[in-house]
Amino acid sequence: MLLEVRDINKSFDQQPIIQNIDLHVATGEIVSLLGVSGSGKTTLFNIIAGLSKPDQGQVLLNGQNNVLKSGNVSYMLQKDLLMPYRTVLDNVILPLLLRKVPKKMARQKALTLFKEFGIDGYEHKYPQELSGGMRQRAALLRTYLFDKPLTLLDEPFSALDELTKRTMHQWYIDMMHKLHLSTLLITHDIDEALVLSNRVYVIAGRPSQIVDELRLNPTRDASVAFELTPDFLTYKRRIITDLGV
Amino acid sequence: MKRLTNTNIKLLPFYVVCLVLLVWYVVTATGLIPKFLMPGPIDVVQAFIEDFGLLMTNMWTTVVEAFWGLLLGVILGLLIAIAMDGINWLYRAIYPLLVLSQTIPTYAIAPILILWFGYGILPKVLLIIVTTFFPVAVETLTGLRSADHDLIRLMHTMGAKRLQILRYVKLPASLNHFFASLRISVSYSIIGAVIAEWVGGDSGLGVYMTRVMKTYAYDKMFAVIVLISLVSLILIGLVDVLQKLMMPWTRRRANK
Repeated sequence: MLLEVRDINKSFDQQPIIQNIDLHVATGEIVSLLGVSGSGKTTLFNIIAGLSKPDQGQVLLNGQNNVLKSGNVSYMLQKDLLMPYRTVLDNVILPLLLRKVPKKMARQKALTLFKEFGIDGYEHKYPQELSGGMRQRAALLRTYLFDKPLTLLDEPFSALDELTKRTMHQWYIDMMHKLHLSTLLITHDIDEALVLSNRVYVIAGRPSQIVDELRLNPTRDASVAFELTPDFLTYKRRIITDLGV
Repeated sequence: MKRLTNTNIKLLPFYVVCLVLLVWYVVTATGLIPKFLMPGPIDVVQAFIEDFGLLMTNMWTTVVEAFWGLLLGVILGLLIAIAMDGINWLYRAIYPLLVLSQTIPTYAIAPILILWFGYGILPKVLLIIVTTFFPVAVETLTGLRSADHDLIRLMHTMGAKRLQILRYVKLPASLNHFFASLRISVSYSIIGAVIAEWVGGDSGLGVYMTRVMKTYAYDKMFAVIVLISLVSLILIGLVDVLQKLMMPWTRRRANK
């Protein structure tokens, strides 16, 4: 198993935030963690990324303990966090530079990927000259160049407008398959979770617990938009009931 | 009322300067203010031309002092800012002292420095360091602390070390603040050099100033004041050029 999270608990100021969290991600899967804002999703992500320590529980990455060990998973946030003072090219090679890869080699490696990520021609622009969708693509290329088996996405598309978001969803699914990525995605958007994921964990309550796990039909008919099928609505109704909203 | 066009607004300061010069010329030329109290603009220009060689030699001394003092002051300021940003107890320990150091008037320590270190360049450079490091330290510290916390978090997830975060996130984030403080420190450096030269020295614009003052040559006095302003303006202009060179991204337009 690529990622296994076992019985994680975390409190702040004696206030339990998340409780008894168990989840896993297999290689090649996109798994969503769906819940309302403030449900401790980011807290859980920080624990998985090795930035903060759980009060109790285990995080295993490829069977290895990953508690308080940062630098082993890729992490992408809602804000693209591209540095305004570096060109797009110099932004995306940052993880390579941090690993002491010589700048020239890092640039060469990155340049071969711009076309695939749909941002060719923007290599020497500054991030502020790009649209929101383009910046998110660049941020994903940076995440990809970090080159870790698991990618954590913290509401990466929620700042985009509805139409850009749809394009980005389809694009991300394609990229996942092409690049053999595995993803754990945080979202508060039910449609997004259903469109992107193989499985969805629903997190709710106070303290937050996992209240449901949905396995989405893997043999979807690609010719029909999934959002327009009765299956989709069935899933959506179930999640709404889970969340009690 | 007719609105001013864009070029007119840009030229406005120029018009004001012309007006001041004109008023200055009229009140001196008509004898409204006697010449021995205040020379006219033309007298000042004449004095400037007459003493040009002398002014240039003295200016060179002052600029060299200012250069070394500023360079060392800026380095010291940067080091203090980086250290205070990185080490919290150091921040608590030094910050009050830093503010206290700024309450000491420059005039008061200049004679002491001259007494201790003689009439050479050293006391001048020391005085300039004392006056220039503070703006750089305080402003750069603010800049370092203004770095985006999410970006720092992202860097942590990528396994970045402290020095890498400093290099890739914090220092670039503080560039704007740094240049704002450099502009202030540049003019402080010239003023600091001149004040130190007043108290004691063999050459420099401050020395020249005290000499012409003793002979009541007010036209030369005004000439040297204008020269000091000019030097400061040119140096501030150089800082602007340097900033544009070091921050090329500020010239690119945002995509909207």
